Order: sequence, then C-alpha cells, then structure tokens
Amino acid sequence: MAKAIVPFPEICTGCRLCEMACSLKHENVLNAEKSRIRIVKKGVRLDVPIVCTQGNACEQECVEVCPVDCIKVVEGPAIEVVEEECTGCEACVDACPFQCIWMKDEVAMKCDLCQGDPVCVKFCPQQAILYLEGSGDEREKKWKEAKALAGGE
Amino acid sequence: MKGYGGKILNVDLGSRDVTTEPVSTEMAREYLGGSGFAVRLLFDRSVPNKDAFDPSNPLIMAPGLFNGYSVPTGGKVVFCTKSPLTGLMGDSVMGGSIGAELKHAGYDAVVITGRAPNPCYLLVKDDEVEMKDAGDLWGLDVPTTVEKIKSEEGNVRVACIGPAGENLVRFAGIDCDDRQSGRAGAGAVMGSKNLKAIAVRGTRDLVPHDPTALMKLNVEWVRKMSESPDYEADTKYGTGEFLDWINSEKGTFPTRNWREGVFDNRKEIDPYYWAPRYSKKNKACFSCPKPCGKLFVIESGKYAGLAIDGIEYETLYSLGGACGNGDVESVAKGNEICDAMGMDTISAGDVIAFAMDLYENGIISKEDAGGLELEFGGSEAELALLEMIAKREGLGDVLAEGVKRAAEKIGKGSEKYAVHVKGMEPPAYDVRGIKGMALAFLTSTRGACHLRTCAYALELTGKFWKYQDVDRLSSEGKGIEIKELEDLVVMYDVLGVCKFSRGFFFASGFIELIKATTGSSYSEEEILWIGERVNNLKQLFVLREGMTREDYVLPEKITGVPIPEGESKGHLVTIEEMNKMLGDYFDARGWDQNAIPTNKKLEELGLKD
Repeated sequence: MAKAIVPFPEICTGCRLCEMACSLKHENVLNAEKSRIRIVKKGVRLDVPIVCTQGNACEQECVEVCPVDCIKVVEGPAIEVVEEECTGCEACVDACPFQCIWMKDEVAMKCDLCQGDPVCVKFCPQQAILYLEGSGDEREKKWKEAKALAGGE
Repeated sequence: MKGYGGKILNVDLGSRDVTTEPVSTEMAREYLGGSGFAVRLLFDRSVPNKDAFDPSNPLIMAPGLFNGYSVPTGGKVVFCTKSPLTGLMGDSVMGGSIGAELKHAGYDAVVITGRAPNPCYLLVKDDEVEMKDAGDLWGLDVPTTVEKIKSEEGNVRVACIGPAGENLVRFAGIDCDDRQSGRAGAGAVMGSKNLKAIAVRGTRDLVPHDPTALMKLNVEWVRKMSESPDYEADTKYGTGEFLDWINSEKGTFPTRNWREGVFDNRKEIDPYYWAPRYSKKNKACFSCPKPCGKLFVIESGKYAGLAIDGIEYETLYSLGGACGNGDVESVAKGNEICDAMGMDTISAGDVIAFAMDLYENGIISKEDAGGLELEFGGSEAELALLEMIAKREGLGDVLAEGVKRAAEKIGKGSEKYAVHVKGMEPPAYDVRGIKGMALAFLTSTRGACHLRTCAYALELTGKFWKYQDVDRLSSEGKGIEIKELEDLVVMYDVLGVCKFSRGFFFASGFIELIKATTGSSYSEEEILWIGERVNNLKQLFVLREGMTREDYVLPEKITGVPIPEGESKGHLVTIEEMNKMLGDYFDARGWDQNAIPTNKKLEELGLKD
C-alpha cells in the first residue's frame, strides 16, 4: 500500500505546530482553517490528529462522489483536489468517512502529502504523526482509533 | 503590517463601549508585541494609585509577536494588570492558544476596563465583539466553564477564571488550554470586573513577511531543539527533571516554609519516580515542540480518575516540599484543585506552608484552622485548606490575602515566618545559596520571581548565554548580571517565546525570525535595548504606584537564618550583601540609589515623557 500519514493520538501533545506548518506550506499564510491536518482536543486527555488516509482505510468515497471528477488519484501516493475544477458542492466533505476534507474559499481542500515530503511530519519531533508504508492492518487500526477518539461517525 | 493583527481592542465592561484602534508602526517598531505592548498600554491607560480592584484598573491581554507564526515554543500570551497581591506590576505569561486566536481575529492586544453590572463573558469572533451573560457560569470551576462556553459558542478558545478569581483570592489565575497565568492575581482582577471568561474565535490569515524563510527557520529550530542533548530528559521528566539534583548537589530546594534547603522526603515527587508511573503522555502548550507537560493520571485509590497537565517543578515545590508533603498523589490532587479553582499553585502552596509554620510554632491553633491539624506533611489538611482558600472560608479567607497581608492580619510575630518579596510569595529556589537569584527576587517588578531573569539556570550551572564561571555563593558582579538577564529574558515575553527554550534563541536567534515574520531588521543590540526599555517602563509603573527603595528587602528567613544542612549549609544573604548587590544593580541600570531611573537614562531610552 502507498505511504500515508498515520496518527498516534496516544503520543500527540496537542501543540498544533502541524496545522500551522501545513497552512504556511500550502497557502503561504498561517491559518488553522486552511490546514489539511487538524488536531481535535477534548479536555486534558485527548489530542487527536485527523488526516487523510489517502484511500488506505476507506473506499475513496471523495473520488466516487465528486460530480465533476475533480478529486483524483494522482501519480505518487496522494489523492488530490484539482482546485480549478472544484465547484464547491461539498459532496466530498459530507462523504469522507474520516472527516478530513475541508472547505477553503469555497474549494475543497485535503492533504496532498506535500509531494511525498509532508511538512507536518517534519514539524513533529514527538513522532505523533508518521509518514508510513504498510500492509494495511496496523495503519488502518490507528486511523480508525483516531476517528473514534475524535468522535467522528 | 506583516506579523500583526493590526488593531487594539478596547472594551469598557461598565459602559459596554467597544472600540478599536490601529497599532501604530512606531509602537510595533519600539515594543514589538506581547509584554512590550501590554506594559506600554498599562502605563498609559491606568489611573495612577487606584486599588487593583478599582474598575479603572486595566486588564490587558497581549499575544507575543510570534503567536500563531509556527515559531517553536512561540505561543505565549501575557496578561497584565496592576496586581492585587503586590500592588505592583501584575504581568503573567501563559502558554495558551488564545493569543494566536486573538491575532487571527485581528488584534494584538485587548484592554479591558470597567466593571460589568452582572457576571459576563467577552466573546470575540473576528470583528464581532459581544458581552454575554455569564449568570449560569458564575461559581463553576474552570473545566466546566470551558466546556459550557464551547458548547454554546462552538469552536472558540477560552481563557477563564474559577471560583478563586470570583472570590478575589489575591493570587487567583487565568486558565487557557490547561495552562495558567498564575502569578500576581490577574484572575482576581477579572473577578472584580465580573468577567468570567474571554472567548475568542479568529479566522483570518496571518501573513508573514517571508513565508519561505519562516518555514525554513522554524524547521531548523525544531530540529535544533529536538536534537539537543537535554531534549529527552527535559521532555520525559518535564520542568522538574533537576529536582533531585537541586536537592542533593546544590541544597537549594526550599523546604517546609524555607526552614531547610533539602527535602528529605522527596523520593515520590521526583519526576524520575512519578513520570514512569503516572504520566500517560507528554502535553505541550500551543506551538511547542518541546513538551514539558505530562498527562498525569491516577487510576486507582482515593484520587482515582484524576487527570491533569502536570506536575510542574514549581508545584512540586509549593504543594510538595514547601508543605513538607512527599506524597505525589496528594500533590497532584492539590494541583487539580488549584487548576479547577483557578489559583496560582506557587502562592497557594507557599501560603499554606506559612500557615503550617505558624501552627507548629503555636501562633495559630487547631481551632483557628477550623479543626485542621496543620503539621508539615499533612496532605489531607493541605488539600482541605486549598478548597477553603478558594472559597474564602475560615482560615482560608485570611490566607487568600497572600502571605504578606495574612501575616499582618494574624500578627503575634508571624511576620518572621512570612516569606515574600514585595508581597509576592517565592518560587522554588532557596536564594540563600543562589545569591544572584536573591537579587533577582528583589529587583523584579512583580516581587519574588524566577522568570524575570531565569538567573537560577546561570547561577546553579555557572554558565548561560555570554556568562561563564559564575559563583552562586558570591555577591560579586551580580548587579550587571541581573540587569543583563532581565533585559534578555523580557524579550521572550515580548516575542511570546517560552523560557524553557531559553538555551536556544538568546537575542541573536530572534533577529532572523523577526525579519521573516515582520520584515523589520533589528540588531542584537536593538533587541536588548527594547528589553531595557520595557523593564524601565515597568519600573516607572511600579514607582508611580508607590513602590520605594524600602520595598527592596528580603524576608528574615533569608537574611537572618542560614541553611541548616546540605550542600549550601551555613549560607544566607546578609543585609550587607543584599544592599551591596542592589547598589551594583542600580548602578548597572543607570538608576539612582533610590531605584529611580535618572533623566539621562530615560532620555537615552526615549522614555522621557
């Protein structure tokens, strides 16, 4: 299976440097609203990274549901949004089982793995997010655990 | 202006007037942000010589310049007001995400004055600013308040007070994200204004001057921090990592209300003992890659279910060693009570240690203490007293005034057991064996404080920044040392950077970061000059509020009683040493011997008017 970012909520300290790094890298600004990775915090106990599994733990619902086919499995590991083609219908946001597609200026936005060198992972010395290959089971367990902890459906 | 939200938000809770004004380019250039803005605004906006609980006393919240810009450890925000504990500078810095959120909403400072007729909370959502009813929230503890506001307002960041702030406990703090502005009683000022919380939601972009350079610098700083030799121990054991060392190697861990410098019963409060047993994971402040916090969880026994972000070094001292309490679970429980009630753990622990000392010396009785047996090490009594202080019940009502006022109220010779400087209870460094730190306690504009210099780091290890071979037991050369450390360290509060990363940036490390964030160029000298200005402005404020040379005095326990055992056995700070160090310091500052900045110095700093 292709490499993807795997969350380790039991290690995440909740500092949110990953969110800042992500928006800085992709948008040249700092804004958690424009980050493709989000930390869900609940009380003192939970800090949960939420990030796209790149189809490794889902059925690529976003790709399926997009009415204009602007979400594509591109060369390399990532599923990417072609922003110019997006109509802002939010069908993918509703369809994503991990709730890791967001809207930005009426265009869908998701993790593109920074062309194979994700900046959020570089910013996290705790190794609470790792860019990992894997055969499925262990990574899938972590994605599903994060989803359950964050309270996603 | 790159690097800034751009506006100052003024809120008068009495008249409900809300106004904004732009941050001028001069202010940005000369004060940068954070404590720089906050101290300038406090000086300009406060009505001189009013009580801290007077509605006119401004409560100012100002994010450090780097808040929100992904600078490692750069998430610190300052609350600044006239302190109800000391009557002096009440500035306290916390690591909470509300600072960055405020910048995203477009503000670099909030100035809150007046008193609301009824309990309220301030809601800031970008341009919308509203005072909302907090009748239902009044009386609630911190976690419940945060939960209720979030369920009402959605994704907001919340800074709030607990019952201690409402009850005007003079060392009540403000909480955000399980971190606290603890010292100096800003939480009580919030309470006096009937202000339960500040909730902020900001959605705007922060646009750095040079995004590519900023990204590169921040990746490098993260790498430098995480590859440093101390990283593993610092993050595994937190700020208390050196607790055993400061006891066994230095003998300067103030114990049982400063009777001793070594805590014999420290085994369990040493993080090397408790971290492996109780820490479930590391916890960091917003924007920090070097997590000192621990998710401390007690799973069974009488405190089962306890979960806190702790226990910090100072709290291991104040609720632990100072009270002679070596039972780490009860220290954690005390930490939880302080956080939930919204009280500074340092002052709370110190004032209980003071009461225990009075009890053992027969000055207060079991009856005075509401039936509690207040011997050192009595953890049940300690926890009961914490609740009583927060609720101002019985003896707790007296202790809620802080050590200085409590001693005045109790009388009967209790003053000789009262450990404070300028009305502020001390942190966990027995300065009888750390002479430079004794001077730092004296010179700080908020009283006994370790964080206005971080001199303990230099004095205990002998080296830091440009200094080396410093002798902690000597009073020579301390005037210039403390002056220079104050001017460096205040810049961490201006920029919003944590002092746990003090060994990385210094002044020179900030140059490129400021440039990438704002586009402005500063030399190292200019950065330190801003630090000197802010410190002089703080001094002008406390002088205006009535502080005099007479207030520069160490407690009798420090000047009159030597440390009885351990590596610092026999040491104390004599009155002569104290006055010599102070004289050297005033000279180094360019102040006269009454601690008043000379006209020449003020002209040099552009603070003449």
